Amino acid sequence: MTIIKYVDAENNVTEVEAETGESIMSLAVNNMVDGIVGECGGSQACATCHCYLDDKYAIHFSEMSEMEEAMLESAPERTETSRLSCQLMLNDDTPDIEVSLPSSQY
Amino acid sequence: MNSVVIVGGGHAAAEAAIALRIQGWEGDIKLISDEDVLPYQRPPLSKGYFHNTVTSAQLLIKKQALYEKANVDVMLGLSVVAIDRLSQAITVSSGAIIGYSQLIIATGAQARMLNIPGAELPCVSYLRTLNDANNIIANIKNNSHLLVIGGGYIGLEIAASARKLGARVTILESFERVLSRVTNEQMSGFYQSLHKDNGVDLKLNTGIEEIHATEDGYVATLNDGSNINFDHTVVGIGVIPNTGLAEAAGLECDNGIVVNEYTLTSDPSIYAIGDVSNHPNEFYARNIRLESVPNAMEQAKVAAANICGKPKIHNSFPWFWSDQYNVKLQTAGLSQGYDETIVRGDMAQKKFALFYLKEGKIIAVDAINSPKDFMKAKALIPQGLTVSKDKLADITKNWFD
Repeated sequence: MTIIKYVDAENNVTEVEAETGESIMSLAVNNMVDGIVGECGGSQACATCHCYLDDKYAIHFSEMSEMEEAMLESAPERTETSRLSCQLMLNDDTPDIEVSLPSSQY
Repeated sequence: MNSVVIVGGGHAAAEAAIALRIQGWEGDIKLISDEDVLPYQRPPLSKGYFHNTVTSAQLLIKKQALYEKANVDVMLGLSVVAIDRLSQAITVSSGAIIGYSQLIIATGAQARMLNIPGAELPCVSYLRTLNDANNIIANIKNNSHLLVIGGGYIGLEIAASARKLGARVTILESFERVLSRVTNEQMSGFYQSLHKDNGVDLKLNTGIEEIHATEDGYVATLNDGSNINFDHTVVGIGVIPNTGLAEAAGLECDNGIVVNEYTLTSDPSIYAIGDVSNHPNEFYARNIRLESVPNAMEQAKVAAANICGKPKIHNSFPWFWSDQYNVKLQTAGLSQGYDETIVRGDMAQKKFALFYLKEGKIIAVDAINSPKDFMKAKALIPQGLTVSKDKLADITKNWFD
């Protein structure tokens, strides 16, 4: 069983079983992980699914597109490890992953 | 009795049901939808779902398992026919009476109907529901001719998606330009060129007077007397908020159900959220009604918090998006009442932001393939900052500091 671990800004941890075909955003939205909003449903229009993904986990996902990079550029609480979790797709080979969340998505 | 009843099956309803549990509601939660499927995202119906990049499973806002886990009683295929405010109960189409301690009305809006001879023919569609979308898609075949009536966002998105599916597309717009209610002339011109460049036949200042069936299709008679043959038509001429239930119950309505900043209606046990709500907006200092997913989600959370005894005010800034061909539009704010516009970037390169100003302050932006300007504007416009117009127009300079 593969586990996706969400750590919010107050260090509250939610562990969710990964599902192939879901994104880290949609998995969060379907498991009441409050720190991820996902207003636009994954069309890279809102940046309300912002998360931090350490390099050691980032290698298991596709690289940032130009659009994702541009959306994140002006996102609040941007860091070097920022990603849009709607772009982090889970598949059968995804190992256990930990993402942390900003204090706010707005 | 501790039981929240949510009327509606869209984004606001689904979000409210789950938000109530997240906020700690321990009583019953019932979601009553007149559709026969779980609440789904509507924006992709004219975009990704239409041209086959989003599946119906991906449309679901929340999965079945989550409603079960959150102990939300989802009642599908049932419409609510009456609200009895005195006894705090609703009557549903099956005849059952269901009590509530708090009621959330999230009934959304319905398509404005075409009112001409022939409007009842089977070739005439509207796009609000998944069934509507499936019906339209089934009627689009390679090289068939789709007539889009109305050059608003929904019409333009359908036109772009239908082109992707290989249909011939004609758009009829009764005004002199598309998107005339929401953008300025330059932005209308941009979208008109975009659609023409993608092979759409765009007829401005053109109304439709009647539709007839022919031997192998349909013919529309236009207001200039000409005829146009087509196979199917989608009408996108605006929506009407579904206020019937609320009006019959005596709730205050005015272009939607009137609510306060807590999303509360004129009845202290009844909330109204999403496209059906007419709500105060602090930045624009007026009441507004939005057709918007972000607004629906935000109001749902506000209503849920208030019901859970955690007073919360709804004060979010409106924003929208539209994907057509390879162009992503992100809009922040409402441009109504602007007295000046400034273009930042290159319209010909399809990468620019059009800023709407009023008395020197930015009130809205339409960002074309310019997410950075959109994100900044969305965050900064609500602060009411005055900016340098020279910097706004000069792409080599930051307009925000």
